[in-house]
Amino acid sequence: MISAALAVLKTDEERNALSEIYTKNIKSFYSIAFSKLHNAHDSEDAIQEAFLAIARNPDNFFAIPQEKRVSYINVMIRNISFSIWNRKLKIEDTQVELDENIVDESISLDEKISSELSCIEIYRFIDTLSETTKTALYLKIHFHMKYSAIASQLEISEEAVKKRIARATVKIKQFMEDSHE
Amino acid sequence: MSNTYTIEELINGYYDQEFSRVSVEPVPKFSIKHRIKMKRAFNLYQKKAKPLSMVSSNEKREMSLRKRVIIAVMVIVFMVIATGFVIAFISKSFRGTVYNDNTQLLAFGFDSCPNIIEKEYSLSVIPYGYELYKMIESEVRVSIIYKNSTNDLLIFEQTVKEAYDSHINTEGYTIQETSVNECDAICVEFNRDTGTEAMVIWNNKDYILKLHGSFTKNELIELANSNEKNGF
Repeated sequence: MISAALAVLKTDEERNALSEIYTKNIKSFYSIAFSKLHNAHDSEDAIQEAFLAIARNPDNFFAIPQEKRVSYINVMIRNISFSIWNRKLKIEDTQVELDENIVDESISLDEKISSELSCIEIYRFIDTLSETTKTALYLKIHFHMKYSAIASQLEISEEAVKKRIARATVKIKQFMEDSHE
Repeated sequence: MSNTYTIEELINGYYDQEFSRVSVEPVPKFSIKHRIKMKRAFNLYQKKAKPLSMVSSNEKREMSLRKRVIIAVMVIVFMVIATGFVIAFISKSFRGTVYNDNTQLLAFGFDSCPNIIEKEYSLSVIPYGYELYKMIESEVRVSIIYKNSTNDLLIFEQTVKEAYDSHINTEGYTIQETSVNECDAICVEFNRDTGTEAMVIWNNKDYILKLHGSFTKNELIELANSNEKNGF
């Protein structure tokens, strides 16, 4: 009986968690959206779309450690802000090349890669990857999310998530290794 | 100069840099449409939110084997109790299962014991007034029934250990461990409106012997002791 009551309390805590996070962090959420969209109305849209995506898949959100949940929302808002921007300017996702043969080489995310380049130069290269690919990679690396969870959150197929992550890691590695030549 | 990085370090570093570049903007008054949509998102989240206990999380570990075994045992015990099948009965010479209204007893440790009745026992010491009434024999069991003038019965039973399988009424009665001439024994006393009745069962190394009649358990134990000492 007591455990059932505690479960209800915990559920209520969880249920209130999202609105509390929104209230406490609205300033940073808005700033992230505005930094990409430069428009108050679109920034509102980015925030509400991100929260709606989380509300549709609350299990993904629950699975993230509490201390990382705000950064998870930050990433979602950033990703959606880019999508809104691309939609407005009718820009296609530059890296949707899923029909081509993908290198199946799998690179461990914690494999040490040596490079002559500084990290700032590598960040510039990472910047050229599509926003969805970067987000998928970050959700995998930083939040240890399952491919299926990333897929449902980014509204792309699980296969596409795997391919995007595999391709991005190979590209980053190649770019770093080319610096030796 | 060569640097080494992992993809993990680079991606984390990239996002740290990206978020650190964001300048803090003053939050405007949001539109009614935004507030409605946010309310809808929170309501949807509330509807879909599950209790923490049901959620798989990175923090939630898979249940250990030990915990799973404990839970499995608890479930089995619960099922056993629910179906009226309670616990095992174990004494020095007997094993059995305790049911709601009886206890099934089996003997164990019969490797070097006869598997048919090789030597028939009969009571050499018989209570006063009792006479041989009936004898029922099989390869594995001999039952000798004695009767007195008031038709009270005394049953002496000899069974090969391997074939011993008895159901004893333990609904409201308790099996107690005792000894008969240093042999392991159990006894039960039934106190009924019609009088006292008892049963003593002992393991005499070769066979399982039983005395059952309208006596107290102490009287039957004494009778069993006398017969063991007299060598039947």
